[in-house]
Amino acid sequence: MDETDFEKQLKSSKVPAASHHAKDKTKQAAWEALQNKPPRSIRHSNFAKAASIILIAGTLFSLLGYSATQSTRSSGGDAGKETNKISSSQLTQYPASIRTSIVRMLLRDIPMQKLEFYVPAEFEKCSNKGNYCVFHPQGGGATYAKAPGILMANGQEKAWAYNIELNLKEVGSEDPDLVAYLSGVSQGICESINEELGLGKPLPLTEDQSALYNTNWITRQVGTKEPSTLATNPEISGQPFGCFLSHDQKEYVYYHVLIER
Amino acid sequence: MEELKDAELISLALSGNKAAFDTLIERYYDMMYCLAYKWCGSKEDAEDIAHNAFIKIATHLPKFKQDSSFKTWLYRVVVNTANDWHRKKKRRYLFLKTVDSATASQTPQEDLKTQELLRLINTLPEGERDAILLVSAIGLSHKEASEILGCKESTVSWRIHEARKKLSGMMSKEA
Repeated sequence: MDETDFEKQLKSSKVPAASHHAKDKTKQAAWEALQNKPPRSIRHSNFAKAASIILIAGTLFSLLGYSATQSTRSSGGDAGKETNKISSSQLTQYPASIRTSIVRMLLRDIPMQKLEFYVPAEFEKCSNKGNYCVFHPQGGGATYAKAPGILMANGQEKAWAYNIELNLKEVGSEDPDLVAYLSGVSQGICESINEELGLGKPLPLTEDQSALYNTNWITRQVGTKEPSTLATNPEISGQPFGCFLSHDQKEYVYYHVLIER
Repeated sequence: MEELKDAELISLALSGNKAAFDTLIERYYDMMYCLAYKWCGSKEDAEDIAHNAFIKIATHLPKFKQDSSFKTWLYRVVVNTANDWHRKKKRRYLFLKTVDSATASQTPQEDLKTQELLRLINTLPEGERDAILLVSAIGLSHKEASEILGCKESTVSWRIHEARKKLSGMMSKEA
């Protein structure tokens, strides 16, 4: 068959070079994916199915909310940026729903330092018949979900870390805040979030506090330790949620203040 | 490392040799990125598609059968990832601008023509779009395209025939 003019044009069309940064990121993420190949038991796959249903429900809910609020949005704009905006709305809405559950618990006079973040598989560890557990139906009744892979730099889903280890500057008093952290978020999404907040690109922490922000749930007995402050740039001060770059500049971290103190 | 064959690099990578794995990615990244670009027309999205495709490849590498062509498998993964990307885009927002004009390094006129062409190709059914892009944009033979798409060579030829007919019709209508 003869080649048509448009096929000649298609063949000769130039492709802009990919960035070295993107290639390096892919190498690292793919290597990590190659290393993470745990054998999956049937029980794991059932759990994964259940988690997927929860995630799909959460995603649909997020997208519904997004489309309802953005229905008058113009059609132009860069596709990658649009995707990042949608993904960033997924990222911010999940901790917002956790916050609602926690606020309800606090209104029931449950002290903040008694809150527990056990995942459904560990519900038997929950104190007071589950009343102190954020994800337990008797407690906060929040839906437990990991962050979906599309939000992450390595494409793998990841659990949020909830803790009260660090004080966010100019958010509440100088006491540590109850914060949800997600480390390893993709650069595009983090930049999109900060851009929407009117901040610059996420900057690195001035000291390594990864051990603190990656610690899951409350390990600090409130008021018994000297509070540490998140060693971030002044721009992020007073921001109850946003992104920063880890001290070693290897990963982007999204934080969301659940309860300010 | 660079002189090693794909099969040798894969074996080394599976045994934990990161340099071998990096060499493998280095060898095929540009090819996969270019392929993805022809599907989406945007540098940023093409990088995302290549990224996701390599993660899928890494995840399934232990199951890869060495008797089949690694390159054909890579093509198949990129095409599937690009099609997933298209489906997600369609679901998420209908008024998608498919081509990123700021990144294409052609004259503005050529750029516009390519954008328009890619836009029209993206309106074709998935099978026809895949066939015309693999054969006309990438330059593969009908046989190679059929191996990647997992269909008969005659099916590829038919899809290309249909795609050409539809594209010619659309272009004459718009002219």
